[in-house]
Amino acid sequence: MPETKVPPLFNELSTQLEPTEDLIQTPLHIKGQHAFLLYVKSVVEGDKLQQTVIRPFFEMASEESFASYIQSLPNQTKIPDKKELLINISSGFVLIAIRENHFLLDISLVSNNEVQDTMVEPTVHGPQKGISEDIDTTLNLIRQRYRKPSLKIETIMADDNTNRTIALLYDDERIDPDMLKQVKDRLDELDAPLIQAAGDLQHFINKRKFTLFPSTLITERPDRIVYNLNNGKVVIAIDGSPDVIIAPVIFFDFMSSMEDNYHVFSVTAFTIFLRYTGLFICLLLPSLYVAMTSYNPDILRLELALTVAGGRIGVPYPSFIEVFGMLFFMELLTEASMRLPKAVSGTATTVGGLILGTAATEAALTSTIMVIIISAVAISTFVIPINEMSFAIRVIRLFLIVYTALFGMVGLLVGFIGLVMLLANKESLGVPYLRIPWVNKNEELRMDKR
Amino acid sequence: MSRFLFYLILINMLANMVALTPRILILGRDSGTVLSLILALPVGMAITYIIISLFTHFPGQGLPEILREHTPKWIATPILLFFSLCWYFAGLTILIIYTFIIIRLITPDMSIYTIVLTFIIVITYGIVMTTRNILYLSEVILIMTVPFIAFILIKGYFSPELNWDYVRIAAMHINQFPSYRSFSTLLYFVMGAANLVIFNRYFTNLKKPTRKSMVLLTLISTFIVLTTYFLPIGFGGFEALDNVLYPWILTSDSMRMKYGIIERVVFVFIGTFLALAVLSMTIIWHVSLQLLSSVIHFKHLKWRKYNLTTPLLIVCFWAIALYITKKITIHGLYKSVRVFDDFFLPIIVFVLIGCLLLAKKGAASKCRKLKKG
Repeated sequence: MPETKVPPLFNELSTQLEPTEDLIQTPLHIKGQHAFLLYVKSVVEGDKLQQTVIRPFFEMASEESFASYIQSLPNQTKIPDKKELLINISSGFVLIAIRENHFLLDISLVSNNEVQDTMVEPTVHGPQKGISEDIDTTLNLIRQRYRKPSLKIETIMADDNTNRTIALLYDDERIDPDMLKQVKDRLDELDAPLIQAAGDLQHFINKRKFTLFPSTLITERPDRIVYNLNNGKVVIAIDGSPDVIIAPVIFFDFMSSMEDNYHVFSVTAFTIFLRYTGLFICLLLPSLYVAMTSYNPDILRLELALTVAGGRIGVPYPSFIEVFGMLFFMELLTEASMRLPKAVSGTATTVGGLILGTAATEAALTSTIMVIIISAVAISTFVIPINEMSFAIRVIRLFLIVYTALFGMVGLLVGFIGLVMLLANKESLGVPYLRIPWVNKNEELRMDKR
Repeated sequence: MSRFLFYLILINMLANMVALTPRILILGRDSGTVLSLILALPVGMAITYIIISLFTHFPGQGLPEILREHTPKWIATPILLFFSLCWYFAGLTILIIYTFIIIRLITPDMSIYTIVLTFIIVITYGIVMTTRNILYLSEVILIMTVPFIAFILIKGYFSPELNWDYVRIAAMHINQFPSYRSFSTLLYFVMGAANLVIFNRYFTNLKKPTRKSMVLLTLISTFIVLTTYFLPIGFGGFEALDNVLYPWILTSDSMRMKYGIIERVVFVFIGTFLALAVLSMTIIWHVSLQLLSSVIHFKHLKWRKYNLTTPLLIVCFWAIALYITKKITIHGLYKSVRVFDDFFLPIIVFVLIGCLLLAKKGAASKCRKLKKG
């Protein structure tokens, strides 16, 4: 029986891939029929390979029928150029050679494809499952919920060192083509050594290094994804990340929870009111305390002004140091309870809360009112539904306190307007950040076009 | 009419409601303010209508572009320079009057420099924003302030301290010959549409105002103008307001929120109108800066790849502002504003309309030539 030679492509590829323990290059032969397989064992699903490739080979009558069988498999793909071929093999493709013909099958083993619970944006009603870390499962979840032929999915190989798949999803009928082109350009220009998650990718898409507010939204909720697709936005998913990026966004997207759509009007209106009140409280209350105690106690009604001043008796430093100190410890507490394992974080919050709450006032290091303000601020920070925005607000309010400490009540007001200016001057892929979504959007857009 | 244009007009009115206008009006209360009120409103609305409909012929073009296209340079440059200085002055008056109000009422022990410094950072950022984003900014700020304004006005109109007899006395002076001073002050008050000289760059689809929008605008302006004049008189009396520098501050200080955390309405009032003042200054100085930088451009003043003309102009803006704010007295401010309203405002209106008419004629003849050729 003449020994059939290993195809030259195989030798070339295996020399490039070696030395790898899990690289497998096996010949199959029975009764003068020959085939060669090349794959990386750790990323290929062994059972499926056995079922769909190896067993049929031994059952087939001839090489020709095996070749046509392989060709008819749904996971068979075209053979790309060598560089991409290597990437494909290392991500779980199997290269098959039958005589001079080569076939490439996708039999990759994916172990992170379970659907995750919604952890970051939980709701009472609405879907309880998020999306998956595996991009195919994610795409499947989205397609299952958005059954329209106009939903387009384009996949792009990220040009970084890990060669992840990035998928671009949009509704062809609803999207603004200019915006789509802008997104694609940004993705093409992507020049980063390592992209690991949606959060990462977002920074590279935004291009700017120093930003205070997020200009794309990261979400894990499939209902939010579908809602935004339906409103003509682009969704960018990256393999290995349990979140997707939604762009473009406006400020008010960050203030909306998906649950707003699932309740009756009165409840929704009330929660939205709560949310915006919370936003203003956590942004303004610390600065207001500084302004009211150090600059203009006369603004408050007399009784209240006396109470505030009386509470501060014995506090040995000016109010802005008090505010900064307490805010600092509050932020430490928040950060600690976020990073700690769940078993310990309870203790941390209790101890921290007790110390901040009782001991500090008894030692006359802060006033009681300050403690109330700080806890009100801490609670209302968590009311903002999208985490990134509440993080941004946490940073922003420090600037506002500085401005107030310098310029008093007027500083607070003017600084707040400056903040609104910062927001108004921001753009997310050409869409003004503070655009108020009124009804007659079309007319307004025409004004926007230059 | 685009809602953003509406905002421009509205903001100009609201920011001046507290500033100098009420005092000038009230000083002329027994020499013909009432009739000037009645006259100035239709005239102002007519001028607004004319300016907007003239600008509809030049979609997406500001005055600098229009002039460059249709007039020789020796006409365009002085006009733009003159306009830019006028706009600068208009913004400066707002800065000065609010600085005075702040030093009088909120932080009396702060130096004038510190107060102006409060504005410098924010407004500098504001005037270099893009024109479009300023429009969005104005929308958001209006949404945030209008509830407060409505609250104060409702409280004012339903307050038991408001004495309608004084209002009636003031209205009885309708039979006097209108005074030019009140008339021109009011004209400035409703002249927000003139900001189109720059803001038209972003109205690519400006339409002639419809009858509905004109009626709405007229109603709103009438309400604001009448409130500006009559409400302080209703609170302070017809005779006694002679020595009051800020009639509206006095008016709002006459109101009290019995159960509120903040008892004196005046602080809510100042806060609200301060926000509008910052916004108005941003708009006006943005126009001024854009006009000026369309005339003055130093090609070689460069640092790395940034041209430094605009920063230099802004530094000049603030240096002059600081100097004047420190030097000027409230009396001097009133005097110069009167001169501005009496002489420069009509010139601005005539020159603006004249330029636009000429440019329109030029554009039409060019068009005809193109068709013939």
